[in-house]
Amino acid sequence: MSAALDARTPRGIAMGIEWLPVIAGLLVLYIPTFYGLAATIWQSEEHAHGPIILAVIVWFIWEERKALLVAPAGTAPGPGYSLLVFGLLLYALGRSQGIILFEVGALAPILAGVLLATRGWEGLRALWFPLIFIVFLVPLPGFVVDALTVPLKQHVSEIAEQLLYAAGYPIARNGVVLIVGQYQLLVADACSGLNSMFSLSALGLVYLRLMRYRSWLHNGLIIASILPIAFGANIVRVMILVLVTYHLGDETGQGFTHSFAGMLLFMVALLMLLGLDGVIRLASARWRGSAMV
Amino acid sequence: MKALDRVMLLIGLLMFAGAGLALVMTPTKKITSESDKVNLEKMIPESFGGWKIDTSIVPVLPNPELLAKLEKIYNQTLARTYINSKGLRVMLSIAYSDDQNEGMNIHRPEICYPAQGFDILKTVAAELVTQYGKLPVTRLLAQQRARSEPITYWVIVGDRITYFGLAHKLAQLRYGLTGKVADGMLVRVSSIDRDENGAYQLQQEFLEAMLAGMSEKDRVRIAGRFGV
Repeated sequence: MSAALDARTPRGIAMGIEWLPVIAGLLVLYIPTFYGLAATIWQSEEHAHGPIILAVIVWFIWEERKALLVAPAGTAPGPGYSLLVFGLLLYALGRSQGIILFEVGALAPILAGVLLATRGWEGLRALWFPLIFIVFLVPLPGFVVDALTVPLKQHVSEIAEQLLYAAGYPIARNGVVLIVGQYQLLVADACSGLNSMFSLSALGLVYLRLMRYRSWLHNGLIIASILPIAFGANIVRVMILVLVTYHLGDETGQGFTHSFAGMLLFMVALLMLLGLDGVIRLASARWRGSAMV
Repeated sequence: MKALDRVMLLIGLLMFAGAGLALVMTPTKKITSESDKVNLEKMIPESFGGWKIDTSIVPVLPNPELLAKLEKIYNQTLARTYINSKGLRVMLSIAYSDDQNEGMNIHRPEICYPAQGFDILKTVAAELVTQYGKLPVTRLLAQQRARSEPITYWVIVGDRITYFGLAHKLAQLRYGLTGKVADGMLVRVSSIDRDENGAYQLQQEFLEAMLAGMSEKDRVRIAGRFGV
């Protein structure tokens, strides 16, 4: 049994070769899709995280490859083929009608179906994380983005204005246009922070997966705080942009926007997330310590 | 072992079938032929029912960044301002593409106006009652400082009028699933007016006059088959 666990043993290789038809099938299905995405929306700032998410999914599957190479403990052909066929139909509908949500999203039921049909429920359990992660590969549908972007922008500019006003800056707001001193700044769609919320959620989940905390409370607290943190970090970003523009001029502000502010936002949010994790760890250690006494 | 190989082969074959199905289902036939190509400039009369073109004001257009994207999506755009005998102005903006897709959203007033620093204060689905039937439209109130701009717009997929969002996608699917590529149009009228209801009334009068001034065929193109 332990020999079969190693991919490099002859049996491992044989089991690897066994997967070739499935791999070929997946390539035929998804090379056109990802090629198309790479040529279109992945080039936009909003979806630039796409290839990274894909790489993360592939990497997590590779991490769990043992589950694919051992002989199956049992299979679940019924649910497996049903899911697979459902996924393939969803794919065909999405691909032919230009519904990216379906086309990319179908990867989840397709892979789940393959796992169930070949490795049973155990196989599915081993690879649940990369399967869930496919959610982040799917571009948010337009109507969701539209519904969220405008109110987010509105709140971000409102709060940034109020905070800077409280700090004594000569700032006024007209909708999503901030007027500071002689400058006018438009809080663009990209400043809504929707994208950073999306990518931080993904990063947060990867972090939790890597840390493998046992406590549901711990995991739950971190998951629940990802979105508020991303929102807060985005306000910080907008405020920094306003301050840079006010003190150093429009040009510096504009240059800053596209280079550094996004990175900064991400770092601030990440530090906040790690900080929170540290606090929770400390608190749970303390709690356990006092419980022992 | 042998049995398992068969399972893998079966799955691989199913996947190839899925890819083939997608290929077969992809619509390729455009519903507009070369012969009856839309010409917005000609389609909308230069004057009708007391309205004529006024060159002093240009309607709000998407910002240059968006405009670059738009040019890839739209075959044609039209932006005109009309003035009536009382000196009241209505701005008309039409975007047309013979291949309808997700990109239509870019010209959506809810997106294109805020991009210009306007606030959208209201969005309401409404019905415009015309002599030809009821036209389902969306009404917006956009504001930028002192400029208050009530907007009425609708969107057409093929020969059907629809709302943006899910309904829009479904309208596309109706064509797509039968192998056809629908064309699409977004028609927008607006006026700079502090009196919101007065502006909508004016826009209604303008639209009725415009529809009345067009041929039956062009009217269906512009407003779909509605109110039947």
